[in-house]
Formats: sequence, structure tokens, C-alpha cells
Amino acid sequence: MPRTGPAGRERCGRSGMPRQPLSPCVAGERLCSTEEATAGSGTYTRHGFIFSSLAGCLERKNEDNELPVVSVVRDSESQLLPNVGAVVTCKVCSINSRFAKVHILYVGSTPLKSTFRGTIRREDIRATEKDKVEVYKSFRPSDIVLAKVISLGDAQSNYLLSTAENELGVVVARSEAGRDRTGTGSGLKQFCLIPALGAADAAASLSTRRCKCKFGKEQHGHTVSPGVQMVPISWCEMQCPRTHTKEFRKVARVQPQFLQT
Amino acid sequence: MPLDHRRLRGPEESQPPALWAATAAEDEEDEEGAGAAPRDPCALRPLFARAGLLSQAQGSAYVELGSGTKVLCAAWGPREAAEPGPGRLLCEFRRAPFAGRGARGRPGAAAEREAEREAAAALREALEPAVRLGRYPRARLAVSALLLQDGGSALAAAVSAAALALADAGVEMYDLAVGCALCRPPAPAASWMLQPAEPEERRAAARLTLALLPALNQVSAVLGGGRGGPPEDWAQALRLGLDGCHRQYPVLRQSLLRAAQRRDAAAAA
Repeated sequence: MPRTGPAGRERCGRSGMPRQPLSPCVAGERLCSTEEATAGSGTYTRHGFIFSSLAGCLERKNEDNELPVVSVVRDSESQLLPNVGAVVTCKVCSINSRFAKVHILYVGSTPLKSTFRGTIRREDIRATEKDKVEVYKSFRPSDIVLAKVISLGDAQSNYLLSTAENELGVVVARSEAGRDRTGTGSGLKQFCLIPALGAADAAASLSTRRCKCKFGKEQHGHTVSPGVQMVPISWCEMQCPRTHTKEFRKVARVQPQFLQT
Repeated sequence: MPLDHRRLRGPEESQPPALWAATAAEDEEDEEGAGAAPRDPCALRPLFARAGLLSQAQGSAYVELGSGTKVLCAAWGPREAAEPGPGRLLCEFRRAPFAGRGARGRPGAAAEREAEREAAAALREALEPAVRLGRYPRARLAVSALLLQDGGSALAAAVSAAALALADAGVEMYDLAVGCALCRPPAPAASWMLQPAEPEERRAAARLTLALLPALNQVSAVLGGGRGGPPEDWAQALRLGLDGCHRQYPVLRQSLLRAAQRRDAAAAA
């Protein structure tokens, strides 16, 4: 049953405070009219009223000059899809002379519950000198890459990603020198997915030897790479701290707050 | 004589179970024949709904009607799909082997699978207008309903359970879809009844299942058929069904709120 008028305003919380998370609501409930507030995330407008579209908690944010923003949030950050223009964290799965296939693990900072596949085409790796790019010198399998979604893709193609900015590119890479070779034969190895983890565990698991998939380390023909994590030295090279060999990657610029000098 | 340990030895005498089954069916027929007249056509069966009970699925719901229909439904959030365009909703409806009364005609027959597929298509038709598929491009949402016991109006209960499960999984929806079933007994001047029990449904001359989005007051699916009488009767049946859906909505809404509270309490603990 829709609630209007003073009862509705009580449920939305007191005005004057910046944020009042209160009162659970259900999909399809009428929250208020569009004259009183603007629709935020988790809501939709119809016939001049704002309705909730999630089963969660109502939140009312008061902006100073504009109308307050009404949104519905669910505590479990779920059901996020990579949108066009979002920066995603992905893991390179296999490379080709024309593109690199990746698995999208995080959108922004929220992990995805099911992985999506993406493609980084050769001409989208760099912004300058696109025809001289070699994919083998930009990415390798099992690199962690920050990329931006440029398109949702058409039939039979995955999400299209691009690393053509300074802040996008390889973030974590392991060196070839210290890597085990389990003799799978092919030069391009398929690597098992790291299941989506919380942000705090991600860094820890990426640096351990074990693959945390439920099949264990080496049981279904995938290799686990215990190579050493490399240090970036320029926008196109990374160096292994143990063997001091340099390898080519398209490196993402380190944010100034993370640099230690 | 040496004991044969390789075989299980059954009892010396055995009797067919049909002896006992026949008496139970006779009792039930007598009861129904006597009690059919005073049943109020607008009475709704008691409804029990609970959301958020399965841990394996992202959203789940269990709906039980007073006549004995029990439906368990699970929903999974957006997963990658290969087709472009807005998201797709994949519905599956299964009957448990022990759901119906009496023996199954031929277990695993094509007719059973066909009926399940039809029910799944009906579920999809009822749920699609309620889910905001435009918010999930290139994704597929999966809903699976399992009918544990059929006591009449199974499809309507499945629609309600599936909508609850989707809302519990955090899928953005325009509204909850509420299902209600009606039937009309074969007597010449009989009127439509809400939420028939299984014997009434079996003997009915016409059946109807409605799915309504209560807050938006839109009907998302009308399914059914039979010999229902003049068209005004069908219109009156629709109105009766809509009224039944509106009366069921508060219970479903309350179950979702309780599930949200339980989830918050579990997250805080």
C-alpha cells in the first residue's frame, strides 16, 4: 500500500542531517513525489512519484541548494555490472597477437560475484603509436591490469576494455625468471581464476604461491606461478628484484600517494 | 540351510500398498462432496512466506498455502551472457517426484517435461514486466522454482515465490509480482472460487491464474482457460483475482522486510 503525506516524510527521516539511513523498504513502494526529492540509486520515477526498486534501506541525503536525494541501499554490495566508462581490475587470461583476453574481477573497488570476460584489443592498449604496439610486450598471462570499459560489446564479443591512459595498465606482474614450468607444452598458459575476494585479501592472495580455486594447486592442468612480483621502473618496463632482468609491460602510473621516496 | 548374505531378504508375506491407498482416497472424496457447498468463494487460504533461507543461492523464498501447496524458489543475480541488449530472465519450474498425490503416470515422461516447460514459460511471462532488465545489460538472471507439494494453485504460489526470491537476491525490480489462482466448478451456474484446492482444481471446468504488480496496479500475466460461461463472468473472475492478489501482498512484503532484518542482524553479529 503506498504511503503518502506526513507518514511518508516520517519514514524518510529528519531533514537537516546529511544522511539518515533508516526504514527498510521493499521493491515497488512509493517513497515520495518528484517535487520533494530527486531519485538516487535503487529507485525509479513514474507518474511523478519516486518508487523504490530494491528491497533495502531508505536513505535520504540532504543537499544544500538542491532537492534532497532519495536512494535505496542494500548492505551487501551486490549485483554490480561493469558500466561503460568504469575502471575495472582484471586478470589477463591469455594473449594473442591481436588482443588480450581478461577476466574482470573488480569493478572499482567492489568484487564481482561472478567473473565477466573482457577483451583488450591491440589498438586500445596505448594512446600513442598504436600500430607499433606488441601485445606480448604489454601484457602477459596472469598480470593484474587496471582498464576502463569502453563498450559492452556486440554479439559474440565480450566487454571491450582499454588501457590507453597513463593511469591504466599493468599493476601487478610476476617475472618469468623465478617461475615454475610444469611442462604444459604451450607457450601461452591458461591460468586459473582467483575467486573474487574482499579487497583486503586480494593483495595477500595475489602474492602467495597457492591458487585459491577449489580444485587446488595443480589438478586440472593449470599452472601456478610463484614468480617474484616485479617493480615498475618506467611506463614500459618492469624489473624483477631477484634476477634484475627487465621485462616489457605497459605499466600503469603509480598514484602519487603510493610512492615512497 | 546356509544364510545367503548377498541378497536382502524381504518379509515372508507382502501385501500391495494400494489396499490402504484406496481407503484414504475414498475418505477424501466423501469429505469434499460434503464440504464443497459451504466454501466461501472469496476466502483466501492462509499464506506463509519466508525469504532468505538458502545459502547456496543469492536469493531464495518459500511460500506455503493453507491447502498444502509448498513452493521453494531460488534466484541468482546477474551473470555474464553472450547476447547483447538488455538482460534476460531464465526461469525454470520443476515438480518434485513426490509432489502429486497418487502414482505418477509414467515418471520422466515427455508430458511431464512439457508441462514443466509451459509452467516455466508462464513464470517468465509473469516476472518479466516486474524486473528492471534494462539495468543489467548483457547479463542473465536465473530463477528456479521447485514444487514440493501440489495442493492446488501451484503456479500462482510459484509466481509469488519467484518474485520474492528475486527481490531477496537484490535484483532491481519495479514491483513484486503476486499470483492468484481461480477456478470454476463444472456445475451449471457455479461462481468462480479463489485459490482452489487440488481436488477442486482437478474437477474444475475453467481455471485462471493471475499475476499482478500491486503497487503499480498492473497485471503482468493472465493464464488459463476452460468453459467459463458468459464473458461477464470472466471479467468478474478477474476482479476477484485482483482483489485476492491485493490481499496477499502485505504478507509477502512483511516477509521481505523480516528477511532484510535477519540479514542485517547476521551481518552485524
